[in-house]
This record gives sequence, structure tokens and C-alpha cells, in this order.
Amino acid sequence: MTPSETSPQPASPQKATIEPLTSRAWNRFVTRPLLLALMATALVVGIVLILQIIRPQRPWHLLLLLSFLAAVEGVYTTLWLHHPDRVAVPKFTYRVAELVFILALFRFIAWAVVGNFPDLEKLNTYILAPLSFFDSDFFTVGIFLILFTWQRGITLSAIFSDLAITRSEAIFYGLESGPTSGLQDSEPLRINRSQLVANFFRQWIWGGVLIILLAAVTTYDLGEAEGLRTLLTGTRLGLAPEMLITMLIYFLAGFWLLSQARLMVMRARWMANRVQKTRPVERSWRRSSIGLLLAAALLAAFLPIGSTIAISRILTAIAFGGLFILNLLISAFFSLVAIILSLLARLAGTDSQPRPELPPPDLSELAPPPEAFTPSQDLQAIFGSFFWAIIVVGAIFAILFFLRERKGFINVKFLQAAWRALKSWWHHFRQGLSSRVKTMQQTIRTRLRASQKGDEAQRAPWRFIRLNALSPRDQIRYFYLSIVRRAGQRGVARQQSETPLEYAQDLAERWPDTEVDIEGLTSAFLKARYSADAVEKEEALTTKEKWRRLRARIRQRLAARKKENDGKETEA
Amino acid sequence: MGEFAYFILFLLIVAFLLQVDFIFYIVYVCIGVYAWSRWYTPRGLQRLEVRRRFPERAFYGEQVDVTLEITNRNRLPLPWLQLHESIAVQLRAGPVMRRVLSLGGRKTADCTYTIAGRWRGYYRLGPLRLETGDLFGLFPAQTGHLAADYFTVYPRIIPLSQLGLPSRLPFGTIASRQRLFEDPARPMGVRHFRSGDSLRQINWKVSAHTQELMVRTLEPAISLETAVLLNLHSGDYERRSRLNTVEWAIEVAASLAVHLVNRRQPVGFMTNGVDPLQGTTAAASTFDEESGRLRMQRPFGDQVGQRTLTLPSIIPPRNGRTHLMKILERLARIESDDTISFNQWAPNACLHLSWGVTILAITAAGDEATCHTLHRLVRSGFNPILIVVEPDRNFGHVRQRAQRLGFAAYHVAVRRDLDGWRRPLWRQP
Repeated sequence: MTPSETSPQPASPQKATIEPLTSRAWNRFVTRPLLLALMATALVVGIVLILQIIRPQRPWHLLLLLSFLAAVEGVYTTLWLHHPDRVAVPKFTYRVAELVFILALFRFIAWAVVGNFPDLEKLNTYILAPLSFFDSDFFTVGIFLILFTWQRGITLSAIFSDLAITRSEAIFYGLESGPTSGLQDSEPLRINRSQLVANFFRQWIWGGVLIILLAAVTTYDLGEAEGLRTLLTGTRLGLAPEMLITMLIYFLAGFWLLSQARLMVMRARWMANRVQKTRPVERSWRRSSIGLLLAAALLAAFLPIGSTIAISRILTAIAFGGLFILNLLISAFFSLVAIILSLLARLAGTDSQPRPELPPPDLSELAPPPEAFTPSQDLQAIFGSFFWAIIVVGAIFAILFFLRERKGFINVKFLQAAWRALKSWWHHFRQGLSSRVKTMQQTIRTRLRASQKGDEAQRAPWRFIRLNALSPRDQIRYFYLSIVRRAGQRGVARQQSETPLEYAQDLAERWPDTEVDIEGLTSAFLKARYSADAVEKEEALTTKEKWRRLRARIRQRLAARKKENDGKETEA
Repeated sequence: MGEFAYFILFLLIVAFLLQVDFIFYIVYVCIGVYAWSRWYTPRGLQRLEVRRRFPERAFYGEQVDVTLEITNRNRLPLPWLQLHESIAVQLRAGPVMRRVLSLGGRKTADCTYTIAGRWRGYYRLGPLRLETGDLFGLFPAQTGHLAADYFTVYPRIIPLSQLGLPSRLPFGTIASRQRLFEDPARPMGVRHFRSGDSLRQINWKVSAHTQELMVRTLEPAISLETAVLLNLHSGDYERRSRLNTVEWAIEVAASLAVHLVNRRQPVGFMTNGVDPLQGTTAAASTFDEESGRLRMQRPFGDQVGQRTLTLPSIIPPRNGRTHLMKILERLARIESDDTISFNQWAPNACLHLSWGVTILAITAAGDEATCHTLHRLVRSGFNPILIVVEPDRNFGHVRQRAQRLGFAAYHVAVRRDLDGWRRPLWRQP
């Protein structure tokens, strides 16, 4: 076990760097929090769908996104608060501040979504009657759902944060067995991780029960009163695709997180027992759990659906029979009670005398009733303003506290560094892109010219070379390339795949009398081109002599060939 | 996690009653995971083959690698497998062997750890505890065991080069200065014939070549058939230093046996100590929880006057490495106990030995009774040599007494006392 599983080291503000995510860190900071947030959100999907069926005119689906964001916020805040450096942060106060922040944010979002930003008249109403602030059903239900998912996110995330190996455990069990044996008193308290896993498992199961029941309810047409009266015979709408995806995500994510929780328990146990762990264990664990879940999910897709099985009908018949018998029993019981009561009434009625009717009371002498107390609008405005002043000041303090504690998270230097890195990246990207575009433009232009002017356009532009201005090395290169060019013009072109030595052989075969000069020139070129040794001026002069001789020979041959051709022409 | 079964049952009921088809899919997935976890975990462990590879014996101070070869015969991988090998404290040469690994389908993994022979003994290695479980913690972990193996650490052997023990048996392989015991199988050279030389000693080829009678000269040799008689009667040792002295006596016995076998001499071994493995098997024996060594089992009815201890069997004199291993294994296991005193035991123990055998009697002290016992052996035709292992300031008296009674006595109380026998041969006078 490496201490990297423990909470990460706090990044000092001076060294704001973004480290690449390892697979374990990716799992801890991305995959697991997102799955936990998804699980928390899945719990309210059924409720949102029911609301959608009952009141379709409201944008209830937006609540799912907001709930998910609240859950993500809760999960990451829990992760952040569990860092050893945040021990001094008052957890309860911070949670309250976080809650106020979420509520305030949601209030604004609700106004924006519904489109009823408060005007002066509305604000006046809020001041006079503060409770009218909550009279929007979207806002009220939204608060409930968001807070529910937020709380679920916190609870589930806290379990996993507790399951992680603490810094003290990592330090203590990271020591050699020798020194540790003398530090028995310093041994960190054992965390009952199995109990934590059992807790997560229980919460997952009960959440699953809730989702299943809500999923079943969403299949009924809740608009019809008859459907609600007898659930088994109500009108069925079928399972909504959202609910189907929710169930799938909830259960598969739950299984995967359960497997991760188990791995964390085993990891802590192995570390406490000083078990040497090979690296592939965790990788194999993750792969096996994912493989098993995918295999089970795939296999389950091919199995028969339950409602088509006879047992389903039998069970339904049994359920109907049971309800019928229960109904009969209840009816019989109440009938019996009614009979007994009527008998008792009859028995009592034989002895009783008829009561004389009393005269109606005279109400004219009574004083008129006092007027109901209605507070003046000024008083209401004072109380309302006072109330809202407290609320607003409290909310501002809470939000400031929430954001101030997150100053490590919202680090200005970190953001500046990130911004600089982003700018630098963009600058490089733009430069690279523009240079590529230019290259491409040049290529296209060259090709276009080549297609228009033929081979001439491809030829390199002529330029004057002063030989004495070149270094000895460059001079030798020039001599060689010059001979190569001339030889190419005379029909001994150098192939692209040919090495200088191979080309020298070709030249020597073609012009055997120049073999010595060709070899000398080639070896000088090889030295000038590939050797790191200094090339002296004398070498360049010697090579120049060879080059001149070669050039003269080539010219002589050219002249001789011309003469031959002229002779042939005259003979002809 | 027993709630999971109830949860599946609940899902089934809800799915059947409310006829929500997709719940069946969830049920199938849950049942699949549940059934797999229940079925595969024990099966994965059952189809695991584990083998321990190591040399079963080691010399004192030697470090030995023990390899656990684990083969997964399943087609599917085993995500995690925890191994915990019990190793005796006296054998540990590093951290405790606790490992966790993952094994692919039809794959083999080796786990190697090192043990060190720091103390002679017969140790138990293992058992190996294997633990695996499902990935979701739905079921308790499954455990398996690999039975223990046994490991012998021989006693410390001090290399000796020259013992100088006298013998009465001719025709052996040890060179002797007594010309009486010339060995015809060890020709040394030739010399001129002298009157009285046997005609059979004439080297006819050399005589023909030199035209003079020449006879073969032979190297004298003796046979040092030896029996090591180790006294481990606890009553004969001083209580304070008994543990160390007994160990020292065993080391001396082992060193002598090794030296003699290296010189190709037959060696036997007898002791009045106790072999904990005598008459039982290793599996049925008990091992000390702390040290991990084989512990001596008290026989039934172990009360004063009712002792039924059986002494270890006698190892008769033979030569060869296999025989030496047998002696060393016995010496590795042997323990001192309140068995039978040396003076009562030695004469009877030597009854089966041949005439002239050298008896190396290793005992705590050379008191008068011991010397008289050895004198009886001298009179029986044996060649006893007394080796005293407890410190004795008046050992000169013991030596004189032994000389008078016709046997040699040596005092080997500390390792330095063996220096005379450890000196290289070319430095011998």
C-alpha cells in the first residue's frame, strides 16, 4: 500500500502545478465521486417522473440536473473536508454555509427558469409576507429534491472517505516492523471498515427498494382516480426510458462501488497486516468486477421477462385471491360490529324517555363581537424588513464563509498559473497551426506553378556562389554536388537509394580513366559531410584540383560526343 | 450481507405482482452476481495447486530460498489470493511471508522467500494459509491450507584437518607411522632387498631391469572404524550451562563425524539423548510455538519412576555421504533429557561393536566413574577416547587417570581447543 491512497498532499500556493492523474487518483477523484452523485440523483428520478405525470406544465426535468449538481457538490465537499488539512474547519458551520449557498443559488435558478424574477411589487409582498417566498411549487419541491440528493451524496461520499486509508495509518504501517514494535501506543485506532461497507450496502439496498417502488408507481396513469384505487388493475403507461436508465445506472454503479469498498477494506487490512501486495492486484480487481458486471448485464438481457412466465400469473391470481378474502373478512367484521351496535341501540332505546325541546336563546342582549386584530402594513413592513435583513446578512456571511474556506480550492495563483498555461498552449497551438497553413499554402502554390509551368517551375532559383566565401567543408560539398549534377546531365544520374560509394562505382564503371579522382572526391565528400573532424583548407584545394580535372574530362567527353554526332550528321 | 438474498426476493415479488418487466432484468443481474460470488470463490480455491519447493536440509548458517509455486487451473482469473506462510522464528531471514497476488486463468505464480539456518533443529515450514473471496464482500472469505513441510538444520560443523586419533585396526585408508600396518594397496617405492624380506614383496620387473633384487615399499595404513558415543544425559551436565554445553557436545560430535567420513572412515553414532521424532511421524509431532522447532513429547505416564522413554536407535559404523546425512539428521533433532546415565548406558551400547573400534566418548566430565566405564571398554577390546566438553581446570588429573587406565583423553571445552585438530596438514610437525 502506498500512501498515495491517502488524502493528497496540499499544494502550496507558491507551487501551483497541475499533476497528471494516475489511475488510482482518477478513480478516486473522478469516477467514484461521479458514480456516487449519479446514485444519489437516481433516487429522485422516480419522484420527478411522477411530478411530470401529475403536473406536466413545469420543467421538472431540470431538477434532475440541479440535483445531480448538488450531489456532485456534496460529494466533492465531503472529499475536501476529509482532507487532514481541513481538520480545523468547523464541519457543521461549513455545512450550514454550504446549504445556504445552495439554497440561494437555487432560488435564483428557479426564478430564471420559471421566468418570474421578483419585481418591486413582488419584493414588497415578500417583505410583508415572508412565507410567500416559498409559495412556488417548483421551488418548494426543488428544494426538497436538491437537499435530498445533496444529503445522499454527502452520506455516501463520507462512507468512502472513511474507508480510505488515513495518513496516520499510512505513516505508522509504512514503518519497518522493528521501530513499530516499540510504538504500540502510537498505533492508530482501527476503523471498523467492514461496518462501513455494510452501511453502504444497506443504504444501497434501501435506495434500490425506493427506486423499484417509484419505478412501479411511474408505470401507472396517476391522472386516473380508478388507477390509484386498485393498483393491480390500474391503467399502465409502461416504464419510462429515464426510469429504465436510472435503474440500470443505480444498480450497476452500486455493485461497482460495493466492489471498490470491499477493495478498500482489503487494502487497509493488508496494510495493517503488512501484507506485501503486488501491483496487478488492484487492477485485476477492477477489471474482474467490471467484467463480471458486464457479463451479468449482458446475460440478463437474453433471459425471459418475468411477466410472461406462468408463475407471474399464478402470483397475481394468489394476490387477487388474498385481497378478495381480506376484503370479505373486513366487510364481515364491520357488518358484525354494525349489527352489535344496532342491537345495543335498540336495547337502550326501550328505557329512554323523549327529551323536551328547549326554547332558542335570546342573543339580542349580548355585546357585539370584537373586531379581529389586523396589524398595520407599516408594522408588517418593519417586521418583514427585519426578518429579511437577518436572512440576507446570514446568507452573505454563510456564502463568504463557504467561499473563504475554499480559497485553497479557488486559488488565485493557481487559476493564474492555469490561465498562463492555457494561454501558452493556445499560443503554441496557433503558431503551429499558422505555420502548417503557410507550409500547406506554399506546397499548393508550388504544385500549382509546377502544373502551370512544367519542370521549370520546380527548378531551384539560380544564385551566384562565391567559392572563396565558403568554408573548406562547404567547398568540398559543392565540388561533389557539382560533379553529381554534371554527371546527371551526362546520363549518369545518382539514384535516390544510392550511397556516395555506390555512385562512385557507377561513375568509375562509366568513366574508368577518372576512377582515382572520383574516389578522392567521394572520400573527401564523405569526410566533409559525415565526419566531425576539421576539414583543412589544403584538403579543399586538393579536392578542387580533382574537381577541375573531372569537370574538364566530362566537358571533353561532351565535346567529343558532339563532334561524333556532328560527324555522323555530315556523313548522313 | 444476508440482506441481499431478501432484497432479491423482494424484487422478485414486486416484479411478479406489479409486472414491471425491467425489474426482472435487475433481478437477473443481482442473481448473477450473487450466484457467481457464491459458486466461483470456493471453486477457484479448490482448483488451485500450491507446491513448496526448497531443499529439505541446510547446514548451519546457510540461507535457503523457499519457493511457493501457485498454479491456477481455472480458465478464469482469481482476482486476489492472500498467502500467509508460518515460518519458525529461528528460521526467519526477513519479513513474515504475507503476500497478496492475483492469478490469471491457467497461470502460475512463484513467491520466493528466504529462510536461514541459525540453530540446529528439525523445523516445521508452514502450513501455508490461502485466503480468497468474492469481489463484493457478499460472502465470507474462503480459506485453504497447504500442509506443512519439514526442514532440517544440521548442527554447526567445525572443519577439522587432523585428528590424530590412534587405532588398532590395520588396512584402512589413513596413513600410519606404525610399520606393522603396511597396506599392499598403497605402494610407496622400491628399495634393495634385505635379508628377511618376503619374496612376495620383490618387484620382479624392477629387479630384472636393474639386475639387482628390489622390493616394494608399502605405505603403512590403519582403519579408523569409529563410533561416536554422545552422552546427553542431562544429569551429567551442569545445570547452569547445560544448554550451551549440550549444543557444543553435539557440534563436536558432528564435526568429528564429518571429518571421519571425509577421510572415508566408517562412523557410527550412539546417544543416550532423546530423538523427538523417534517412533512417531512429523505430522503427529508437536512443534514449539515460539522457536518452531520440533518439541519433545513426553510419553504417556510421564511420572517419576514410570518413565518409558525409548532411546534413539543405534547407527552402526558405515562410511559414505548418505550415512553421514543420517547421522547429521539425528544430531539435528537430538535433545538432552533425564534418560539413563552414561555409565549405565555405554557398556551396553557398545556390545554390538566390532573388536578394535575406536569409540569417541563425548561427555560432560571425565570423572572417575566415567573413566572406569571407558576402562571396561578398553578391556573389552575397544579403543575408547574420552572427549570432555565441560570446562575443567583439573583436566590434567583426568588425562593422567585416563593414561593409567589405557585410553586417551582430550579436553574440548571451547572452540579454541579444537585448533590443534584444525591446523592444516602441512603445518603439522
